[in-house]
Amino acid sequence: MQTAGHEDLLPRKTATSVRPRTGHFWDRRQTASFTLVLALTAGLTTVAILLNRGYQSLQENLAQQWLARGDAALSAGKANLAVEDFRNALAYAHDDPRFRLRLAEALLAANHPDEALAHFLSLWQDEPGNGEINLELARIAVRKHEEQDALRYYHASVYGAWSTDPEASRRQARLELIAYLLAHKDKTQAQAEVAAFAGNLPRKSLLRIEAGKLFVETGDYNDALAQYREVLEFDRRNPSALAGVGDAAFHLGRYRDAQRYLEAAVRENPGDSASAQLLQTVNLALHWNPFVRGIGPAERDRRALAAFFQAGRRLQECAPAKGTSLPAGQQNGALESALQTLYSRWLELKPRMTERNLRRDPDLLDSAMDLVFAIEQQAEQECGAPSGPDLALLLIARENEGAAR
Amino acid sequence: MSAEQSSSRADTGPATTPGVAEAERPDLHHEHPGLRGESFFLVLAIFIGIVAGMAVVCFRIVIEWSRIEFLGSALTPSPLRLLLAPTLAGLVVAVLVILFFPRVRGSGVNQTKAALYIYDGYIPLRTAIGKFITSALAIGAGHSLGPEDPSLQIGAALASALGRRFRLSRDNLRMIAPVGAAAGLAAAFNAPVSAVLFVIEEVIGRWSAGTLGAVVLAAVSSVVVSRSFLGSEPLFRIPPVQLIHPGELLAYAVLGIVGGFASVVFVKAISILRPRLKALPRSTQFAQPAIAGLLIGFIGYLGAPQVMGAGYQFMDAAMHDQFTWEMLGVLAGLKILSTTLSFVSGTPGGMFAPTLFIGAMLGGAVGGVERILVPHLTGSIGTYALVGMGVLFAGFLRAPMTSVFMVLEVSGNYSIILPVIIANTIAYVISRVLQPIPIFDMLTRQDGLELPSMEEMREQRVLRVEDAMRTGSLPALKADDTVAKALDIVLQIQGESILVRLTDGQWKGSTREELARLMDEGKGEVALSTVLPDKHVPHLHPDQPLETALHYVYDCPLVPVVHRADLNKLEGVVSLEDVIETYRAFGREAELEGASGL
Repeated sequence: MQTAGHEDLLPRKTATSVRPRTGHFWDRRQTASFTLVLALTAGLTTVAILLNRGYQSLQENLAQQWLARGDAALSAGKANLAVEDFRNALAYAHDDPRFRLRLAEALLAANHPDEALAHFLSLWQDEPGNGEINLELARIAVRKHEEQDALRYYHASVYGAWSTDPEASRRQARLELIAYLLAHKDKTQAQAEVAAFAGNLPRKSLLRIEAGKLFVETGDYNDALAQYREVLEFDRRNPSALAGVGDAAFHLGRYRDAQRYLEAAVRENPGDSASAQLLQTVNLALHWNPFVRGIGPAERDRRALAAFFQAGRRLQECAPAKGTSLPAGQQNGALESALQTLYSRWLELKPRMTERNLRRDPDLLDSAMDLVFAIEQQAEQECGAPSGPDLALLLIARENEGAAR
Repeated sequence: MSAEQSSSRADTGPATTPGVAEAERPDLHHEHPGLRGESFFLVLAIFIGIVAGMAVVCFRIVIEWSRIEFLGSALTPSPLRLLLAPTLAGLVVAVLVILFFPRVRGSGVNQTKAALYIYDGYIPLRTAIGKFITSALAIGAGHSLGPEDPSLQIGAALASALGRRFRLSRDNLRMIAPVGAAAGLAAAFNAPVSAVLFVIEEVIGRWSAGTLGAVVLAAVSSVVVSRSFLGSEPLFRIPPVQLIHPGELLAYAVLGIVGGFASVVFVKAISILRPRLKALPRSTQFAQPAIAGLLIGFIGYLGAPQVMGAGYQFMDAAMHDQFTWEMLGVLAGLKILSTTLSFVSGTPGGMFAPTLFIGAMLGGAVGGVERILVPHLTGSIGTYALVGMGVLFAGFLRAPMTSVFMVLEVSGNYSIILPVIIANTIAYVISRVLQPIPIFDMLTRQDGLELPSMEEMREQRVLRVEDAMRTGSLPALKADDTVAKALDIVLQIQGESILVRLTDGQWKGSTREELARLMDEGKGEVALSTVLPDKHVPHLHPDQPLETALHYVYDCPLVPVVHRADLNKLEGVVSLEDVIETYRAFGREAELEGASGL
């Protein structure tokens, strides 16, 4: 009897069986059944292997084709098109992390950080120690202002595994980390990283110049000096190293050394205007410093007088700019501004400032120079950075402060 | 002879099929001696797993290859391919199904159940071939269906063919189809545990140690085969989940609510449209899959090609934040629409993959909204998408256990289990309340069949001996008690029989008539142990299924029910009348529950 609605289902056919027979026929049938099953298994295996090989080959070709298109699009600056191409490539190579990595990088280039992050995190799950992945995650964290994550991933990148040129890649990652720390004014940690960076450099490496620059940025001029000197040991005429030593020495107040190295730097690279200008400043500092070794008493006194009157001129230029009127003569009472007070002291000392008095009274030179230093420092605070002789006097003042400490 | 006529003729069974012997039914008592036993069944299960695994590997490769040929290698096909491929494939599939493979409609799950419960495990091998070809064409060309259900049916059909080849007994032949089904599903999902659970939960509905062993062996061996070809990577990858605050579970509970309602909408859509399309003139059935394909292609052309095919690569993309939450919501809705179109048009293919797709998109959409409203939520979009898959699986397919393990297996991520359980449970409850009949049961009823509901079977109360036994004053005496005493007690309790406990712990029984006869013979003062016949009365335990008692109560007026830890401790007695009355009361209760809609 036909049953309505059954057309989707099986026919009313029950399982069949054969009446039992003894002996030979059953053995044959059982053997035949097993043989058939084995043959079926072998046949299916063969078909599956052939199909699988063919399909895998097709997948690999398609993946490579789309990858190439994606690379071309990315090189042409078409990041969004590259994303689509890499997505297609990934569809045929979803087990290959390289494809996912390319897609993630393209997504970043196309300004899709959230989606890129999701892919990078998937990659990170498989390879938490991969340097490249950690570096990209750090960059994303930087964009999202997630400082803790950024630091964590940067460190993981620096100490992670890199497939190509691991040493250079780790150095590059550390340099990025240092730049990030400096941008966030974390000089202490940046210093530590720069020290680690320098410590991992080969002895004869020009990257020590880079290390020196970074030490300068962190304010560690001593270590910067050491790095530049390392370079000069194997490349005595390296202009960058010479300039670096000169700059570091200048900041350390070692002007003679600074002069020597800066002169050498300018000789090696006449186009180095920064070094040339710094050299000028150093020369001024040396020329105006009455305390520098190697000059006679007459020259010392002459320099002290020149400094004293230069300081007076500085005050006379600075005060009007600040709207402050300087007293005409020495004042005994309290004055309104520091500039006025200093000028009053200057006026008080001025009559005594002769070469003869300086010769007779060694303390007068110290008093005069103390006043000069105070004037230059106050003027810097109120009227901005000086130039020329005033800059030289200011530098001398700082050098003396450091020496006194 | 038209296809319809031959189809009808096939429906009528072996008596009208020429060349088939009249009494070709499995002879339980004459199974081949070498083929008896659990061991052979288990060995055969391994072979079935290997064969089904190979078949599914080929199936999946053919689907992918077809997709590349029909739709091109880009994830976003050209407009012409979008419209033409599913339409033409629908036409070809309709011709094949109607003219050559009429049994391959539908997903395959109900067909396997029908084989188990109606057709003694019989599935023609032709069905496997037809399902392979038509499903591969349909899914590869972009119809919104999945490969898992067809894989289940292909595995079942191969198993059935092997079982028939080895002349298995009827019982074993019935069970071999689900074994093959588990193998096929495991290979398709690359998830053996989920496949085993699903087959037990939705196809077999019950399990014994032997059945479970065979199902597991087949599933494991098929997965080994499929992984050796297709790799062992989990289908999806999401970052580990860290629940910082228990309150975050509320977010997943909301997903469960939304998913529950979405499941109901999906079921309703199919339940309303499918019978209407089936009722149309037969000639329209040649065009239905093609029209469905054209509509689905049009959806793709309008900007949602992601809804075409199984969609696994887009589920992965959804988990990696490729889409906005708005787009995810739209894709979920469009996938419900496109899958409904494909399925109700009669296109062969499965609903597992679309269910996961809808769940993933819906989960991602809900997660996206929740993260906007509550920015402190730590779960990623991928986490919500993954939980969403389980939610739809529980709400739509109504396989709660499978839904939990499936999520764990396809992701390889066990940190997600708590959100999954919470969300799935909520979705399941909502779906049950609003749609009492599960999708598979509904489809079988629409086809005019009465298959057992696995959901009902799971919740069916099992009657036990303790439900029928009588306690209180029990008619039990000791072996050295006299006949006169026994007769006194029987008359006191107005009973018809007594039980006698022997010194060795065994039991005997006697009736009032027998005792009266012994009294008449002057044996009133004789100990019972010496006069009763040698036949012992077997004992039962209170926790045993009541049907066990049926083995004994026909022959023994009273059967003792004793404690498992102390066989001398009589818990109660049970008779045939007690058993019948208990079943009768249970039936009345079930009738009342059915009438009240509970």
